[in-house]
Amino acid sequence: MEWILQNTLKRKVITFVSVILLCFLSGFIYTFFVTSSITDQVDRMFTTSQELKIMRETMTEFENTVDNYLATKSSDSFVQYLNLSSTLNQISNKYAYGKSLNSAYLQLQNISSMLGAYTEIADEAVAYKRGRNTEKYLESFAELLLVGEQIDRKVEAVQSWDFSLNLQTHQALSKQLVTIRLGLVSMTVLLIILSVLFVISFSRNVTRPIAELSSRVEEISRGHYVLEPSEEVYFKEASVLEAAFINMAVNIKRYIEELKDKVETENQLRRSETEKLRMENLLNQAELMALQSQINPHFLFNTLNAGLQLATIENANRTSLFLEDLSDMFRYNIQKLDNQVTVKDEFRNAHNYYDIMKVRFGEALEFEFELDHEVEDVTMPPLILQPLIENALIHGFKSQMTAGVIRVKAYPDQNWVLLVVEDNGDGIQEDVLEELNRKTFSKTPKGGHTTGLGLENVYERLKHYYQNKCEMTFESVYGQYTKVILKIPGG
Amino acid sequence: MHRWIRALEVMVITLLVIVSAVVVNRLGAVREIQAQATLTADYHVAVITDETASYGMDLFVEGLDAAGINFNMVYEMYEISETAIEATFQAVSLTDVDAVVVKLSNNTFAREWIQALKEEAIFVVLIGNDDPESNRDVYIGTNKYQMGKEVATLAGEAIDHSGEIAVIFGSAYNENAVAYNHFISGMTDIVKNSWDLKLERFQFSQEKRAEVITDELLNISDVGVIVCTDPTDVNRAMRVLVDRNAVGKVKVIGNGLTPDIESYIEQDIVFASIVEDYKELGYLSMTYLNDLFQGKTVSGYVNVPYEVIRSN
Repeated sequence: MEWILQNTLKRKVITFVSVILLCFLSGFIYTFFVTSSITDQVDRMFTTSQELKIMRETMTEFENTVDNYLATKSSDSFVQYLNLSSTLNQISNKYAYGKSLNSAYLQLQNISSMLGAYTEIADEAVAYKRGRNTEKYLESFAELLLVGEQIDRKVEAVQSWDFSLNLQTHQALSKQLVTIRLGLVSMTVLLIILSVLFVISFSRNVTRPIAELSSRVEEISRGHYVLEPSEEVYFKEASVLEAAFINMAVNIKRYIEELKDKVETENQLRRSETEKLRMENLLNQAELMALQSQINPHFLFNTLNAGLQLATIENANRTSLFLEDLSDMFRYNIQKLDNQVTVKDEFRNAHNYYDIMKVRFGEALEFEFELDHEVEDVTMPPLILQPLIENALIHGFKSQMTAGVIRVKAYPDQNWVLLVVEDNGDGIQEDVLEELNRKTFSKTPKGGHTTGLGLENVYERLKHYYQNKCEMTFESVYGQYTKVILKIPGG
Repeated sequence: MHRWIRALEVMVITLLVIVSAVVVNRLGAVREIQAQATLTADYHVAVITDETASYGMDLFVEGLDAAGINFNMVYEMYEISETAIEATFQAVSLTDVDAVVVKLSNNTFAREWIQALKEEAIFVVLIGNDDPESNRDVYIGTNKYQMGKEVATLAGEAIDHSGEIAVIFGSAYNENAVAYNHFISGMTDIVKNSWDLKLERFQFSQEKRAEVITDELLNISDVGVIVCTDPTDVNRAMRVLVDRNAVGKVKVIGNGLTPDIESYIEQDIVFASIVEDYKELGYLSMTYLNDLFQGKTVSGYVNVPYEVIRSN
């Protein structure tokens, strides 16, 4: 019976059928009530006349009975007299309407009073008969007949009134019957209209949610997965169906979005893997070059150690320091490129490189180092600064006859660390500068590098290390200076 | 669409309720006629009269109706002829009435029966003409002697105190009634003081229609003024005067103030009219009975004044 409490289709159907049946049942009962009421009124119109007729017949019988008793004094007559007297008293009581304002009922009240007197006179006559008072019982009987005539006249008057009342009732009824008949016809028509409206309303309630659902199916087929819930509440099953359908659309949409995300992620992963492969390729190349160059370092280390011992024995201090610097630089250069060093390490290596180059170039080359203490311990990939310094040395002073200055700086800039390698050499031609800033390094010459690492390698390793959160820019005025600025995250 | 259907449904249901209410109301209207039986009055009064339907009687009944509503009394009318008078009084006695109003053209005829009613402690009020010996409780009426004098004075004035005065008595008057005698006495007392006025012809419209009486009177050259005690007779007499081209030649003193009589007075065709307040008679009869029912002491003789209506 739970369905009664819920707005289910079953309840809707049962309610609809019940309402229609109730409409017609109430119409039928109402019509029955009206027709019964009219019939009752028509019946009542003749009731009084019929009762009065019976009363008059009873009175005639009563007078004959009294007459018979007075003549014969028979017990049968006496019993019949008592019965008839009782009947007449009952009629008298029935018509005791009091001082009614209605003329007909007032006359009936008069008859009631007269009937009372009538039976009393009869009682007197019977009593006189029993007392053997002939004169008195004859006198009473004569009076009885006289009162009987009076009652007859009253009955005639009442019948006249009753006829008048019946006529009045009949006229009123006839007049009202037109309205009543019209009212009943109107009610029937209105009930039919109401039933039709209920049918339309019901069928709409049942078919509307299905129609709405089918239109939503069309929307989904067109790719519209965002569905608004219906404002109208039809019945529970429709609501459940609608909610399920909307959920389904939401799930489909989410699934499609998930698929898109997945594809996107896979694409990114694929791109990342490609990048990784490229980086690995670059590292492999670098490591291959490093391995190739390791043949020399083993030989060179042994040779340099032998030379270092020889220089110590011969007290050649400068040669000893030179060989030591060279040894340190080679050691730094042959480390793995995916190691992690600090800015301070890079500066130390750059300084070694400078000491070696100073022996070679003498006063023709000047280095200036500026390392801010705040950024000393910031980590970074190895062999970044050295290739840049080598680049400045190789390309910046090709046609320089005077002493060149290379300035290496590291300092904080908000959350970043700026590494700057600046030379006052030849500068870079504008078109080459543009290509460098576009990170097109293929045309840049990289011969003569100690590490064998070019700008592209430096840039790619930085990107890989910092996950693209780094910058490398070139500034130059041809014939005046060149500046390479690296911007890396600061710790 | 849905809202329209809902609105239509509400409208149809409203109409259904209205139509049902109308039909039930119509049935109720018919039932109401019979439902009156339940309404009862405090007192039951019988009115016995031998006066046929007339202007005065209609007004008298109006007075009874108004007082009946005011004092919650119900009355029933017994119209009798002389032969049925005994049976009527007997019937009234048998119906346990609380009071009887007797308005006969000669109430003296009913003395014996009125006395019988009084023995049964039924209140009796006489209207129009008095019979103190009947032991009635109250008499209500106009002073007929004074009215006779007034009529005779007006009649003399109408014909410059020279000529014959004829009188047509309506149903309210009876040749043997005290009221009639008082009226004639009043007229006679005026006429006897005037040498040229005569008062010899008295006719009763209950015996002969007023048109016939008027026609006969016009054949008598000395009749200068006709006095009618009933408004119906005034109209009938006027009809003959018009037919006989005697309007103005024979003057008319009327009774009552019907629209016709009012019009005749305005046109100076009727010289004057004596207006008795019949409605007041009806109303007062019930009022005094109500006082008697309440145990109050009332005057045994109540005079209801009359009014004279003239063109000037």
